[in-house]
Amino acid sequence: MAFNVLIIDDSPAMRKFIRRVLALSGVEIGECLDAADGQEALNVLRANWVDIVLTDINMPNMNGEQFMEKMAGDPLLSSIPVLVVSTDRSDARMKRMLGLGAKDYLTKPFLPEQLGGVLGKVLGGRAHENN
Amino acid sequence: MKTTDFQSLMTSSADEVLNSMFFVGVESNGDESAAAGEEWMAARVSFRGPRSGAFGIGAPLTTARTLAANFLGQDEADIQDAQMEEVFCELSNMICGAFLSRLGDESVYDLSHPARDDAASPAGEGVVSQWLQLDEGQLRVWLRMGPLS
Repeated sequence: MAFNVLIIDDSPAMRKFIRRVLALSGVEIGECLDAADGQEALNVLRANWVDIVLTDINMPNMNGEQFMEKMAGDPLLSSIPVLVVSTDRSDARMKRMLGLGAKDYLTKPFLPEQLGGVLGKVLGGRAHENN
Repeated sequence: MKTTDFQSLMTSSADEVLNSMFFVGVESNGDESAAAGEEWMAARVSFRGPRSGAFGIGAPLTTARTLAANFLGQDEADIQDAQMEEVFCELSNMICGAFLSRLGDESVYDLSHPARDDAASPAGEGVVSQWLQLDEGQLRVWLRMGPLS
């Protein structure tokens, strides 16, 4: 089973890095979509089937917290698992994001294999079933 | 906290980021003279929290290009100037985040969006800086930190 992924980060370089790591992660990736902020991401989600969202927090226009609040309030989107990928390592921020419904929280910098591991965990074992 | 403590935290933060996502090691403290006369790229990010301040990095363009190529998985010859700038800004953002997490106060900091810094690297009172010798090239990291609020 291939998973469609949405990467949300205002840095084009970071989006490209994550896309590259996903390709090497061992998780079968279908469509890899991206967005530069939360508002753009909501538009992508309403137009595409997405299995998992990877989001930064610190972004212009609509940040990661605001994005997650919007997702939680939308019955069509609230069941999509979200993985936060952020430079912020504070317990307070992690608790806040997990409280908003994030399935896991990965801090930057991360090793490429860490992303694959967290994805596998969030996708509940489905991620590596074809490997 | 003493200047040397900040320098140590800046070095370990840069080492962690460069090792894990740029596949480059920090070999030792660098020497400013090794980068003299070279064209330069710099980026900075400001932060607010229990302490406020700014954090920045600078490197010769040759080093910045190598780092961008490693991060993006492309040949150096294919790296565009805009990509190099984006990667360098992201590097400043990640090193700053790693540094703030090492201050040990478990506080939430708000970071600005990293931006290219066209000004010369700051110096003077309140600025702590450190030159790092990388596997390939030199990197300068600096910090200007306000008092605890």
